[in-house]
Amino acid sequence: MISGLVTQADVTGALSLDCGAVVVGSGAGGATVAAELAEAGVDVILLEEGGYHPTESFTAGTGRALRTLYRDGGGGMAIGRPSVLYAEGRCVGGSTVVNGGMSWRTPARVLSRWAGHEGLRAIGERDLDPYFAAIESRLSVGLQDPETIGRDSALFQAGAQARGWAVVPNRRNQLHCAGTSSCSSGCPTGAKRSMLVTSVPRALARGARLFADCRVNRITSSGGAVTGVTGHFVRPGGRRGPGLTVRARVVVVAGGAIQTPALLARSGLRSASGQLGRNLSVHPNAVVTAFFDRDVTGWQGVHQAFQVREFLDEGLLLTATNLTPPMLAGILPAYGAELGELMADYNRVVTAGPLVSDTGTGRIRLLPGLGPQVFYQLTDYDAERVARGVELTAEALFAAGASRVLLPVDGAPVVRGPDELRRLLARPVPKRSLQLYSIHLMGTARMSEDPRRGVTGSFGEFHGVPGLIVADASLFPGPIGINPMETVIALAMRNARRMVERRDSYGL
Amino acid sequence: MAEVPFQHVARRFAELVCPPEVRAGQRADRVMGELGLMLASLPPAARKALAAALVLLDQGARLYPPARGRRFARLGDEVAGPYVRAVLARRGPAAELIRRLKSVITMCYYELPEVQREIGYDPAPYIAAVSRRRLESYGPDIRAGEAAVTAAPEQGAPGQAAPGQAAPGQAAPGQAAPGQGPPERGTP
Repeated sequence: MISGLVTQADVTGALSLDCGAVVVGSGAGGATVAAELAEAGVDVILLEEGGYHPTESFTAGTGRALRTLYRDGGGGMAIGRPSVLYAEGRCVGGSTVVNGGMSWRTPARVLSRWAGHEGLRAIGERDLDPYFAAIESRLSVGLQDPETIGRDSALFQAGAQARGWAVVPNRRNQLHCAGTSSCSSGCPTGAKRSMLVTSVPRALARGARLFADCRVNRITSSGGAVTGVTGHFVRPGGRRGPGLTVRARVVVVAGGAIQTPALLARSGLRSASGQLGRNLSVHPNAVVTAFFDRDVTGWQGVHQAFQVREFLDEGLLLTATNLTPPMLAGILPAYGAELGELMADYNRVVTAGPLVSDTGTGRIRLLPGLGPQVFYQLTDYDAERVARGVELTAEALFAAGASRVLLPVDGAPVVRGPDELRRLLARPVPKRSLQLYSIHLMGTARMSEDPRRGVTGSFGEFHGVPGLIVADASLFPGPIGINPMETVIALAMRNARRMVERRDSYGL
Repeated sequence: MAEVPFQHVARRFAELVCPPEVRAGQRADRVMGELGLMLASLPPAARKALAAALVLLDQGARLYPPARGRRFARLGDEVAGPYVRAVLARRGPAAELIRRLKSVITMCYYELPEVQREIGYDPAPYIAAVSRRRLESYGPDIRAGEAAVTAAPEQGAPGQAAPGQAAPGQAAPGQAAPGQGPPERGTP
C-alpha cells in the first residue's frame, strides 16, 4: 500500500476532513491538478470512485479488467440510432490506466478554432507548448522501441503505405514499453506512464491524500461559492459504505465528460449558457476485422504503433488496434459454430478502424433512478465519414494482403476483395446499421469566455461559482480529432499553475 | 459467486450462441460463473435490462410458431437454433438488448483460459518474456525514469526540466532508444 492512500477497507466510520483543494477524479486531469497543487504546498485531497489497483495486479485478463478498472464493466451505451458503446476508466489513474497511451499535442488548427469561436485566452500554440514539453518529459512521451511493434501494426502500416498514404509512428507515454499489448487491461510492467504510476504518486509524495473507493455525491456551496464535497465510500459489491465530508476552498471536478456534468447537475449547479451536459463529442470509431492467410499474432507487440493521417483534413484517423479474444468475440457478427470458426483464426486477424472527428453532438441527462444517461445522434454527414473510414481501412488491409474482411455494419456480407468492397459500399450504408464505439468523450462543460456560450472560462473556472474548477475533457469546446489525453493534461497543468499564481484569491 | 438471473435461460442461450464446444466438460457452468461476475460489475439498471432480455428471449419463443407455445428454455436445438437466429436478425430495442446479451456471453466464453489456448492465445508466458527483455535491455533508463516521477519540483517557467529529467523537447529519461523523434504536434 502506498503512503497517503486510504481505501474503503481502511474506513470504519464516517470521515470529515478539511483541505485547501479537493480534486474529484484521479485521471489525466485530476491527478495532474493534484500533483501541481501539492507541489506548490497546497493541502490536497484526491477522491477516486474506483479502486486502487497497483501494476503488480494487472494481467491480460479482459474480464478482470472490465470488472475492476472500468465503470459499469466497460459497457456504457449512448442511446441513439445507432447506439454507441463507450467505456470509461474507473480506478486510481482513471482512463489513463486503460487507454492506449497515445500522446499528441493539440493540433494548432483546433486551438485556433477554440480560441476564435470561444474567445479563449492563452490557448495558442506558444501558450501551451511549454506545458506539452513538461508533460512529455514527465510522462516519457516518445516513439516505441522498434522490437516491440506488433505484426498487426506493421501490416496495417504496409497496407497504408502501399496505398501511398501518410503514416506516422505513434507517440506514446511509455518508458520502454515491452509491447505486451495489454494497454486496455492495465499495463503489467508499469511501462505505460499512466497517472497511476506518475502524477498520483507524485502528488502523494508531496503530501496529497488519496481516498479510493469514494463516490462523490454532491458539491456543497454557500453564498454562491463552493465549500467542499460530500460522498460515501463504496464497499465490495457496490454496497454503500461510510460517508465522507470534505471542506475545501477549491473544488476541482475531473470525473470525465459524463460524470463531471452529472455531478455538477446533481449538486444543483446551473450554467447560464444552458450548455452543461450538452455539446458532447464522442469521436465515433468502428472496427474492421481482417483475416490473413498467415499468422499475425497481433497480441504480441504493442498495438496502435502507427496512425494513418492521410485523411486528417476529412476528420478521419485510421489505426490498427489489437483486441483480446473476449473483445473480438463480443463484436463479431456471428455466433455458435460460425463464431467458433472465425475465432479459430484469431491469430490471423488484424483489427483496425477509423476514428471520426464528429460534427454532431450529444448530451448527458440525469434520469431518476438511472443516473447519468448519454444520448447521442450520429449525423448523416458523420455516418458517411464513418463509412468512408471503414472503406479506407478495409482498402489498406486488402493492400496488406488480407483475404477477407468483416465490416462493422449489421448484415454486411464477408468481403473478399477491393472490388467487392467498392461495390458493397457504393450503396449508402444505413446509419442505424453501423456498429460504433467510443473511448473519447468530450465537451460537456465547454470553455468559453462568454458565459452565455460556455460553462467554464478560459482556465476551467465554472462561470459564476468561485472556487469551482473543471479539469477534464469536458472543457473541450469541440472534438479534437486526435487522442485527447495530452490536451487534458496540458490544460490541467496550465490551469493548476494559474491557481497557484493566484492562490491568495482562491484562499489556498 | 454472483448469481445470474434466469440462469437456466442464460445457460441455454450460451449453449446456442457460443461455439458447440461450450457443452464440453464444465464449460457452460464456468461461462455462467464469468457471466455472474460480469453482471455484478454492471449498474443495477443494466443488470435489470439484461435480465429483461432473458425474459424476452424465453417468453418470446411462445410467439415463434415452430415452438408451439413453449418457452425458449424448453426447446430442443432443432427449434431453438432457428429461433435464436431469427431473434438476432431482428431490429428494435428488444433485439438489440438480446444481441448485447449474446456479446456478453460470448465474451465470457472466450475468457476461459483453455478456450484461449485452443485458439493460440496464451499471453502470460509472452508477457513474462518481453518484460524480462525490457528490464535486461533498458534497466538503467527505466530506473532513472521511474525515479524522476517523484523528483524535485520543476522550477521557473512551465516545462522547465527538473533535476533528473530531460529538458523539454528532448528525450526523457529512459527514452534514449533508437527511433526517438522530437515532439510533434497532432497534425503532420
